[in-house]
Amino acid sequence: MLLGFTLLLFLPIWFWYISPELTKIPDDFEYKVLVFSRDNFYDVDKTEFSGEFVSNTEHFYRVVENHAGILLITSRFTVQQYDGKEIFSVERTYAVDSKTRKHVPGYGDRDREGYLFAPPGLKKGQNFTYWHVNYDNPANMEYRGEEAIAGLTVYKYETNYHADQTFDLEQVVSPLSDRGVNVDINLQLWVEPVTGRKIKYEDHTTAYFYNLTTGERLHPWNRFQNNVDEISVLKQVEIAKHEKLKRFFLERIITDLIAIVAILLLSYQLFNRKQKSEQRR
Amino acid sequence: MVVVIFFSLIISALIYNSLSLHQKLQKVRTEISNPTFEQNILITRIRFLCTSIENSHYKILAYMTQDRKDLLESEIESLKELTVVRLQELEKLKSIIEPKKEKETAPYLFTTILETKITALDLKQAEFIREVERTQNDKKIKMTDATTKLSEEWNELHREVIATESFFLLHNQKETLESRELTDIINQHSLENLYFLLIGWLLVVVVMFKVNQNNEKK
Repeated sequence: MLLGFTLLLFLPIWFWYISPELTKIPDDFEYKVLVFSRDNFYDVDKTEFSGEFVSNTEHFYRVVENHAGILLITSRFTVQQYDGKEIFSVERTYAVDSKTRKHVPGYGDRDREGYLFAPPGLKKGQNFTYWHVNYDNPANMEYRGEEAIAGLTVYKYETNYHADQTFDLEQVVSPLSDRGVNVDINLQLWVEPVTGRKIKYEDHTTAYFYNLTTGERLHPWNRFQNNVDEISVLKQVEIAKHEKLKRFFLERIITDLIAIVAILLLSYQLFNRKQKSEQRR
Repeated sequence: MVVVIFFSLIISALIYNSLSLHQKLQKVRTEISNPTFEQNILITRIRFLCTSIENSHYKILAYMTQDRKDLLESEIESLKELTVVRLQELEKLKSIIEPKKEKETAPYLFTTILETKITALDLKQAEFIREVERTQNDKKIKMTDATTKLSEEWNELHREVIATESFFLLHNQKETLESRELTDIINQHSLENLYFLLIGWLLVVVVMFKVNQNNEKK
């Protein structure tokens, strides 16, 4: 009887405390993908784009500190031309709740909205806010449907938005004294819904010079796109499948098992008591 | 009966885990590592041909400056031959990538970009050779403004081809590292599953042993 009650009391502790502790983002979390980037710069003299070329891109997320469950995560994205000249380089520090994966204000290099990738347990059709490293702005991701990548069910999301990148590009685009750079972005994400893990992404962007005083666009600067390489997608699929299985085991199997054992023990004891009292009568 | 079912389930899970590991590793090997290795051989060969073509281009410029009509003709022939061989190697590279029909993969995009750059370079080279051949008709060969300009433009296009090849090789190098990481992850997950199944097996054995002991006491 006592064991049955103990298990029944243990059930919410397991479900609300222990299980989330076991499925939270670990302190040694690292997310590294191989990004295939293509740039196409605008030739002002010829008034046309000068032709697509491939760039060397480095992109990763890495935990640097843990403040009582709030992880400080470094996110780096650098793009280099074939001569080693930097086209774009940013390093940001996110503050993310390790259990909910939500950005936490007051800790990182600035306050952010949304999630590191997506919230775990996404429902079909559910939209969410994502923070993409390049543009440092909230992206409202809209559900576009369900797909399968290497046997893993994923949800596809898409958004079109704008961002100002004058600050991020002031080292590489010169002269910027009276000009700024703003971008039109089409961003697509493929997310594993149970874990909220980003499996791959694609962005197609056009960057424009604009007059900082009037806000008027002058001419394009660069039309570029980034895709996650096939091998990195397979790596993310493998990790997501394992994480999904772990979550299923901890959140469903163990929880259900505790509940069933508790109910069986209580029922058995109640049945025994009833039988004994009937025998006494 | 229950013990037999449990043991059968665990043995099936162990066999499935082992087969799944073998299948995944085989997939990484045949679909990623081997094709990348084949691509690298061809890109390196194209790169070697590009360097030979560049040498030939500079030799032509040198022979023009030195007015060596005798050597110039054979060098032009050699340049043309090297260009044909480069195109053949590019076709080979395309033929090992295209059958996959995955138009958005990095090797496909790299090859497409490389082909575009090489086509532009070859057109410029043809223009350059025409100009050189035109000057051959003169009594004394000398560098004209047109050949100098065409040579400069050729150099720029050549630099772009070399850069694309370098990035192709760099990308394949990164892919190889990434595939090694993927192999490690697959092995690690399979090992975790194995430990988990063995612990499950051990727990079942302990529970069954206890139940049996209790039954014997009764």
